[in-house]
Amino acid sequence: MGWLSLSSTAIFGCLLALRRRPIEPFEPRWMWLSTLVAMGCIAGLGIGSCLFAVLLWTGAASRATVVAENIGLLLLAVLALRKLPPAAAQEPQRERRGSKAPWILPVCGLLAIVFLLSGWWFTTAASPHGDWDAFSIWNLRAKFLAGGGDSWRHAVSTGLQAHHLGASHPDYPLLLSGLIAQSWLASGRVDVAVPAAIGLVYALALVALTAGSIAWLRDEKAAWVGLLLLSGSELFASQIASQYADIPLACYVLATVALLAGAVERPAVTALIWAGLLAALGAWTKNEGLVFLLLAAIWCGWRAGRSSLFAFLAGAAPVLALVLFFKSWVAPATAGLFPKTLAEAFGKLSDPQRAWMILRAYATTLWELGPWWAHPIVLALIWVWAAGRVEPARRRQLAVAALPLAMLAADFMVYMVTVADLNWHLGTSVNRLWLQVWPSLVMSLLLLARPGTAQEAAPAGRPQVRRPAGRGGASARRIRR
Amino acid sequence: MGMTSAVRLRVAGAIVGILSLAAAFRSAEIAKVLARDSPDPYRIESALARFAPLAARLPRGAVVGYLSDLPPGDRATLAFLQAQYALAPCLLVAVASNDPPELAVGNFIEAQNPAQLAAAQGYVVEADFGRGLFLLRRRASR
Repeated sequence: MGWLSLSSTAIFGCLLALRRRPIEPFEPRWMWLSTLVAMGCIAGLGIGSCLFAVLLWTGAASRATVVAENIGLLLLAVLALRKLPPAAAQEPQRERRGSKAPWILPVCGLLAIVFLLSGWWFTTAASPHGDWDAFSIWNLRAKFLAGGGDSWRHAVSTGLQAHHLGASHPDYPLLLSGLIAQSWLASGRVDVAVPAAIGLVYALALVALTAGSIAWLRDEKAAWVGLLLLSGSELFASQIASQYADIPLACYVLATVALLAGAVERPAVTALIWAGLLAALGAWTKNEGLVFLLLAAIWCGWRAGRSSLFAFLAGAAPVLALVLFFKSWVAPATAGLFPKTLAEAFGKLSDPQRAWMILRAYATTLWELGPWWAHPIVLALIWVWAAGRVEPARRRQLAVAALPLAMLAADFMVYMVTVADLNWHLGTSVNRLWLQVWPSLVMSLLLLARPGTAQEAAPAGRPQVRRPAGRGGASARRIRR
Repeated sequence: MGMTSAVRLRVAGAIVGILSLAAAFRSAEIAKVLARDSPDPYRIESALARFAPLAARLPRGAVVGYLSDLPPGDRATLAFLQAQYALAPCLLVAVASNDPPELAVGNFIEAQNPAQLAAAQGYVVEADFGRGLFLLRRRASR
């Protein structure tokens, strides 16, 4: 029953994405479908968590109501299935941007995913309860939420902090804990495989979203490069089995950033509504997600215009209302990590030693993204050099890089004023804050690269599929040179 | 003579592919070594086994006091979080409050005389589960 609970919400989201497409079809078709499935899956899981929170707060959460909710979502999914747009095969073929990726990229990409899976397996088999924050925050709170009766209130109790600063965080949003608890409540037992599996699903969704968003905005070759850069990042690989909320948040951040990048060229109401929904689900995942939602709304109004902002906010509204309700009435007002007076804050802000410590921690995290001989930023720059810089007409999309960078700037300010020991605070969180935006940065880096044309790299003498008239491969190469 | 863009892309693709794949392999190897050398580093499985008999005696979802002999620090924090995770959905709270809970957990790792420690906080031992683990009940006020 627990697995049915998770899969029904994920299937609901997938079919919703296929019914109300955030992204119009692109080539290769399977990458488009995997992007929709990943986007729909994380949206469905997030919506399932929101519905579970409503059941909890109304006192209606029980095994029966959770199962009924899941069946309701499945029925909605079946209805969506009946109204799906024409099957992919019936749709007109779209021009492929760039030639097919050379075989080495997909082969290495698929093997890299196998290594990610094996790393997850080794770690999960040895530490099934996840890393520190998993058993002290996310899975612990899930136990309270699934405990029955009023025990869910313990998950948002100030008593949860005990006397340990930074322990258990009763004010954190409930997406991840709610998802786990929903499954545990439906199955009637605490199954440690559930949080591990959720972690893996989000990690795979993140890989698919990274590749898919780059394929959509650039081309297939760059998509495989993006997938490889993410999979080769130690920062990402080391966190998949941790069962933390940072990879889910990275998913929501990346999906939003990709949809907003697409909206720069072609604002589409459906895509913007999806962007709002996914950004709001990020706010339901972690407190940093609330900051991201605010930044994304500002960016949307600034770069895409007022009507786009309205569409974005319309998508965000239902989940944002839930988050605001949670923050205002359910979650306790904890002491937090911020100074109590302005004077204290200014004192910390004007301390250059603190700024230097944070910059050093940022630089170390950047350096440790991967081994020096395969550093993802160096590899990304090699790719951009090889592909050439994107044509000026498409450089407007690069403005989305402002979003992950602004997130890092906001994190910098939080570190500047934190009342916690700065060394401890940096040591326990800075790499995960980078992880939240790292896939978006990978995508932004690869947006610097020029997408290939269908003709380029065509082996001499071999005819190109769907070659537009008058744009031969050889002449395209001559123009490029 | 410079490389054509197609050759350049193939070379760059090969570099990115092979090096990223090697990095992903390295990450999997690190995970394998860590899993072999330090499985379950916070000893959650053994904590679950240790606390299981006590968990069965607690009312589901109750607020329960927590007493320990460990001085504040990383070790005390881990001991508390192990207990909290193992005993959830019961909520563990510090007993040094005006309204101490009826039941408390005594997690005494090093103490020679746990009953004395419990008594100092107004509790008596209700059950001894061995290995420094006790169920405590608040002493009836006179």
